[in-house]
Amino acid sequence: MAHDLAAPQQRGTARARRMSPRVWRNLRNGLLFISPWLIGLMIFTLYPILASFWYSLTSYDVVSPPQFIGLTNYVQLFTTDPLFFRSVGNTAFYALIAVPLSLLISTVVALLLNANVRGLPFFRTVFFLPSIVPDIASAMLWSWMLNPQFGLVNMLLKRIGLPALGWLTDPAWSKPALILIGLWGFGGSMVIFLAALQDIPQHLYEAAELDGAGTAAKTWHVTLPMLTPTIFFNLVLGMIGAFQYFTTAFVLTSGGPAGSTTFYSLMIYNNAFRYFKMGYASALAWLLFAFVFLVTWIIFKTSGRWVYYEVEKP
Amino acid sequence: MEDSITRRRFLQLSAAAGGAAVLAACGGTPAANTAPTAAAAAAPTAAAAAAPTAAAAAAPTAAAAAAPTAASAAAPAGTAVKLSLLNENWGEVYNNLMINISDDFTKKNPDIGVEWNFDPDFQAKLTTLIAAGTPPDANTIRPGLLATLAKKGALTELDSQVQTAGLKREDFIASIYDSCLYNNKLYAIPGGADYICMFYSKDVYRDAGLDPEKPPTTLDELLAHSQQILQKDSAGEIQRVGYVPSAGHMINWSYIFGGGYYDAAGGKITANNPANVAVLDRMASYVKTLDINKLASFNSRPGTYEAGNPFATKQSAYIFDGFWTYEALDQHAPDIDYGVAFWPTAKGTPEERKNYAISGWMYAIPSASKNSDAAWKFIRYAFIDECAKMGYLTLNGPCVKSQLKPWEDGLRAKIGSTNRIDKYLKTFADTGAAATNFFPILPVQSYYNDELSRIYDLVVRGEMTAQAGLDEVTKNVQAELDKAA
Repeated sequence: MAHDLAAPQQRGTARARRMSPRVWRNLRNGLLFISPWLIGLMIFTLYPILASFWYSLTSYDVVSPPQFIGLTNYVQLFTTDPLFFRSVGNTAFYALIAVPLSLLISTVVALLLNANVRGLPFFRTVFFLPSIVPDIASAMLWSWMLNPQFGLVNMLLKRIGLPALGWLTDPAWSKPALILIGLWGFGGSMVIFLAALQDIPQHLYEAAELDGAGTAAKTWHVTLPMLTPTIFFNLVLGMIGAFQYFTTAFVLTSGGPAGSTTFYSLMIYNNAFRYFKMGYASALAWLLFAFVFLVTWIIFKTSGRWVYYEVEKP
Repeated sequence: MEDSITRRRFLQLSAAAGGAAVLAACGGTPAANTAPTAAAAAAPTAAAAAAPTAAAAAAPTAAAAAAPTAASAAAPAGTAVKLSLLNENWGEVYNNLMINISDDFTKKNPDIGVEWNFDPDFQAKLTTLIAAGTPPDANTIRPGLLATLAKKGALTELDSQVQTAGLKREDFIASIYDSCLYNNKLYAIPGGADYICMFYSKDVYRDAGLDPEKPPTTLDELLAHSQQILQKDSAGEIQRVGYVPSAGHMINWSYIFGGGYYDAAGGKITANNPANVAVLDRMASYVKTLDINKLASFNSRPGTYEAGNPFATKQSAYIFDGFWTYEALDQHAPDIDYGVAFWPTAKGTPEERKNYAISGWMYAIPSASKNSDAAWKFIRYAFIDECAKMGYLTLNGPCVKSQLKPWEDGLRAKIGSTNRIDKYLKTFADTGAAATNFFPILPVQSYYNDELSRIYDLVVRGEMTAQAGLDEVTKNVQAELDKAA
């Protein structure tokens, strides 16, 4: 046993011996220079994350010390909480519609903005601008735009002979309305697509043209395959963001009407900061983490089938 | 120059500076907290009365040496105690009025200074401060959190203080006083009450062919008048509306009709009380005549406190709100001819007004307060002795019955006797004096309210029956209450 314990130590010492004094000094200095960040990460990120896992196994109302209750919080989520499945359904609906739509629109607009037309910088700015509007400001703006009685959107619908809709007041339309608001901020992913488009080697298009490819064929056989790493990146980020969707719904609908916009993150917020059920909210948060991790893992696992990298991994 | 400091030396200095900064951040005591301790050296008698144990144990000489500037800067000259108060953020105008009240208090009690902390999310902040062991000396509190904190022993029992002051339950507005009780012990002092009455538009009444001097006195009349007032356009959109019910109103109607939400004796949630079910059924039937989506669409117009609200544009006949609404009406509806009447009841008799349910806010002293005696002095001054003044200055309903008349007079003097609300001030005061009911004080109150709102919405949308909905509320909230117990 003593021999076993000593072995790693000896290996470690040997490794340290192999490290030259210069490398060792650089490593130490480097660590010292980033230590403010490292300490911050440990105190403000790592510790809360680990602590929240512990709290998820407890009954904790902030005022009293947490009491260990094992997996009770997790069991209650699935068995007794009337809002759990509803919030999961609402969030899944949002994620499954908003993310693909956002990818589609940002790809199409990026393709259009990659064309050589006059006033390109102006159009690029116009489409990008909404993505830098803060969420709250955007929500307030859209609350007016979607006002069922005076909103511009309904006014336009009426002009073309369509009925006015109760965007944020009708359970049937509340989630589509929030998706619409989310799509308005597609500028961020559009810029990434634009950068990716400009990175596609011109010789691929020239080769395709030599083979007789038209615009559609070039888009399908050259542009889209070359964009797949970017689609993959935006898909992963979009999914993670969609499952954490909170701010706009919190400001505009607070879960209503009739629970149609009670998203998962809103449920976490209510349990943590309105009902002070920190243990239960932590369990909800860890379940979300596990689910997002699973979805991301699945996307990564399937990416080999549809993501094309120009330079193959060695 | 390069030789003047080596890299090793630079790193040592950086580490030392960083360490010092971390220590300062972690170990530093806020000036406000050091003030009482430091001041204890200057005025030991007063400080001993306010915070004997903590101050004495804290070695005043050392504390004074460590933070002399903080002590003198934090407390006005001559004050021995600096009270730290956490208040709901009501906006700059009303916050400043509270500061004026505390300034007057300090003039009369030169040994007690006050430091305010106004926060819109004061409940989360209070919980965090209490958990951290650094609570304010006194704070605003709402019934739900009061129950949670009282249950944990985080609030000071105030029964003996109230008795010593020669006060009893009958001296206060009953609903709010009872809202301060948890397990029959008093954990807060009533601060401000929401006396809700019915504002009605005489202009709309005239247009609808109703007598503007005969507002509804019963729910039947209210709904009948509302049907007469209702106007829709060819597309079915509401153009003018009478009564607009809500989940919050459902609670008051339930109490008016003899219902209730909690059986204190049995510790049981009674959301599915037959009277509550009947009220919700009635609300749902009425909303059905309006079409819930059309009503929701109409409700997306600006609210009472915003320009262009439907009451101001003569498209809505009623506002159920407190006297403070006069300010918004003066600003946004200066030309509207309005009246104020009591909230209608079942039969329209004055005796039924005792069934009104009233809510409000209170002031509590955390049990870990370092200056609880001084905090009590301030609470007594602001919310008992001078509650009329506090009420008319900050537009809150006073909670001490003997101060209702001075409050009315003070408010009249403030707004002028020509203000449209002048002749109705007594209606608000009488509502407060009569009411005896209140929503139950439970550790799961926020959840209870959210569940009622959720079910109300589903029932008025026809997605479930009132009985099934309120049964579900009863089951869910009882389960949470059992867990909390």
